[in-house]
Amino acid sequence: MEGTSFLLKRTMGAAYTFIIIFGIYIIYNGHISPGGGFQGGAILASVFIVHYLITEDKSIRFAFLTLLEKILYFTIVCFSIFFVLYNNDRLSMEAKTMYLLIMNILIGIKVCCGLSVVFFRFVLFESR
Amino acid sequence: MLNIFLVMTIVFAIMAIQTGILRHAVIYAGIYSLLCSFIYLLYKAPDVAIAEAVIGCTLSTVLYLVAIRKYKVYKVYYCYSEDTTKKKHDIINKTRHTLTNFSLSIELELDFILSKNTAAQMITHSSYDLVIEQNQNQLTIFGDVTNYHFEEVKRWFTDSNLTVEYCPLFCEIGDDRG
Amino acid sequence: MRKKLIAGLMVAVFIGILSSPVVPIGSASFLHDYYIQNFTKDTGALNSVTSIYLNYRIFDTLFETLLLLISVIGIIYFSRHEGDY
Repeated sequence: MEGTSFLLKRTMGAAYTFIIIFGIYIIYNGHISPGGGFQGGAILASVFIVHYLITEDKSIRFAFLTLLEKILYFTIVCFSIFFVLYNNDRLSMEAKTMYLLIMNILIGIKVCCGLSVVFFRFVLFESR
Repeated sequence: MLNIFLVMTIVFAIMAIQTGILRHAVIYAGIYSLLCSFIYLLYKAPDVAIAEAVIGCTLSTVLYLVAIRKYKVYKVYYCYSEDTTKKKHDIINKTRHTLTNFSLSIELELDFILSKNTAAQMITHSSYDLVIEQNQNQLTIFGDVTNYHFEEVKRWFTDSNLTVEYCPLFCEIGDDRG
Repeated sequence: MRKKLIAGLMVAVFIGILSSPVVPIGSASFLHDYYIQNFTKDTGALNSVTSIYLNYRIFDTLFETLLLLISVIGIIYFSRHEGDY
């Protein structure tokens, strides 16, 4: 965005990495501590917003993000239904935990794509 | 603790509705959802609190602010000299009051910027809708004549008892702001 | 006439809902107790919210994510564009 102050640019540029680390932490520890795919994905989407606020880079690949979101949704549906069909008491604890972790990661990336597409649609396309 | 937060949410909700300036309303709504997230935390629902803090307080506030910035802003530069006294502040406040009423009447968002540059610098170097220069007790208003709000501004300033001189400019045609 | 009919129907439904008997939470607490006692053994999660969100109520989550996907698609195709999706 044009006309952003120098102070905001510097502080936000330094905060980048911390936001990414926090988002990944929330997603990765979704099954242990509060948080999960949706919250972590929203935090990761805010990285894109910070990126929009401090630079004038408008090269967002909408087609790629939308395609990625659709593919991830398909994967989530297939994976979870597969798990529900084969879930029984003989399944080990590690496998169940692994399922939760993978689902959290998939949902996180999907929500991140979705929210950033929504934001950039509103910002770059409306009112031009 | 919980009761304090609950009362504060009501206060900020009423403030967000009652304020006339859109930007303040967005900020009050952001504070309101931050307090909501604290309340969720006090009710021992940290998952919901994280979601509320991220979505309600950050994403939607930034989205609204960008939308207001993109929408209709009436940008006014107010140029004044270094030696400001009490009386001059009165003039600034009166001008700001008049322009706020004006922008509310035409449903634009007022962006009132105080500057210490001279008016000539502002005219050549910035994008603006109105430049006001103050000399002692005399106000000089520079504005684009092709901008049809200029006549409206004149009418508002004749109602207030300020000594004003108008200086119409002929800027580039096709300025679609405001 | 039709508007008044619909409004009257809505009022009737509202009164019916208010006067209908509600199952009190106390008698439904066996599910609540079951989740609290068995979620770690059943799902392998230490966070009970995640175990409900991703294991017991997985179809809820699937349709919730579908909701986000559909809203994104709607925003893309209804927003102002010049042929570039």
